[in-house]
Amino acid sequence: MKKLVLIFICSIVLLLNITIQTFAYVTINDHVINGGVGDYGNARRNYYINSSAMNYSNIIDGAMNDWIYTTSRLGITTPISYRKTTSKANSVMDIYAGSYTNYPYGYANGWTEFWLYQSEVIPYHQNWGWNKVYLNIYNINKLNNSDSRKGVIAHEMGHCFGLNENNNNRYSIMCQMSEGRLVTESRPDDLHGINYLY
Amino acid sequence: MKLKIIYVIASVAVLGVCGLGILVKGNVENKAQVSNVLITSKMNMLKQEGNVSTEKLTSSIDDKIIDVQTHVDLIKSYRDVNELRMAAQIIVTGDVLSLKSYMSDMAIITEYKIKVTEAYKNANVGDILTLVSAGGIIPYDEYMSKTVDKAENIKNFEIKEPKAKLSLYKIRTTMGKNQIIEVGKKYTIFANEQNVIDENGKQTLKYCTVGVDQGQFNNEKDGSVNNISLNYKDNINQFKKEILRK
Repeated sequence: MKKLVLIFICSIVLLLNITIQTFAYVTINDHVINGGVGDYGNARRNYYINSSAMNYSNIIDGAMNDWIYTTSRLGITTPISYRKTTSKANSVMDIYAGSYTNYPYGYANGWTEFWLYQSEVIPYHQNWGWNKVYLNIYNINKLNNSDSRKGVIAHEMGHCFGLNENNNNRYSIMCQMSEGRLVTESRPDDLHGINYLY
Repeated sequence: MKLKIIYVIASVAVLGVCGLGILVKGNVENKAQVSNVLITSKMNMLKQEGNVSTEKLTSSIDDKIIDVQTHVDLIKSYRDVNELRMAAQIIVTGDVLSLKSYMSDMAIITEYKIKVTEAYKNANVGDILTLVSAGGIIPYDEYMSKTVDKAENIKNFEIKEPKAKLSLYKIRTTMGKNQIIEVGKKYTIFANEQNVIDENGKQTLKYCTVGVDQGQFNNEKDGSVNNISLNYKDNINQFKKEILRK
């Protein structure tokens, strides 16, 4: 009888772990970037690094690679397929950097805007066509290693893909740094979110 | 014995399916909650050309508002009143007498006068202070004139409307989860001195809400503290006791 109880408890614990991991992501009312995040092996989107952010080029590329090459790292495949471009016109994710010390952006590591053609839009209401990502070098240069900086960039990229803040899960890249994010690259919860959206 | 084990595993599987249902529901509720933040902010989206929004356009000028919200990765979260108290140079409760919003650097901010009714730190009852909050509403024309992306020479919000009609539009931005400051309402504010680009484009020091919006509490929402980011659900009197705690 004790064995049965033990098996029952173990099974419950295992089940809870599996189900919690399956659903621990938050979307922006299920809205997405028009045209999707690529289709790995078939179609790709492009990201563009403005000259202001060129010093962070390697870190930006690393953050993007962590979103793309997930099969070997985590055993989860998503459609994400992005390549760096030098042509802004071909890009759907434009990345800028600057030293923003004034209120209110002085409090930010980075932020993401959502655009459709030439209009900025509110993603809770609708899909978008492309994004602008701003990195606040005033704050991210204070971070003590390049991994933490990569985490900021990967977080903003997650917004571009359609993931929202996930502050209840410190092991998600979509947890805000201020809420105690413990990872610096996309994790299974984030990738399940991508596969749910696209 | 084997049958019993099979029976237990089958029971767990059934429970699992039920649990899964609950979790799915939880996920949906979570999304609804995010949506609710917008609903309580009374945000209206205009139907612009190319947009997929199905919100209705209304004829009221007040409704000709385009909302903009950026997703920000903040450097710090203030987890309780004590942390806010430590960060703030001024803590007051008061009534907002007047306000003006303008484009500051890359964001809309609101400068407002507040008459102090309860003073907790570096202020006196009856003082009229000028404070700054993130977000606000400004005319479309003003926004357009100051938001040209110099690097790309792109103008934001090129709405295809006759020029005369454009003057009826306004831009509203919010940062964080709080609502924009309103005249006649009572707030408790934690503020500290920060660099601000004023409406003349000059950098100056002003007292701003701590943590973008985290040190801003609307006292009038059901009599309770209104700050989702803090998840502080106590009533206003307990909140005030906490501010005064040494």
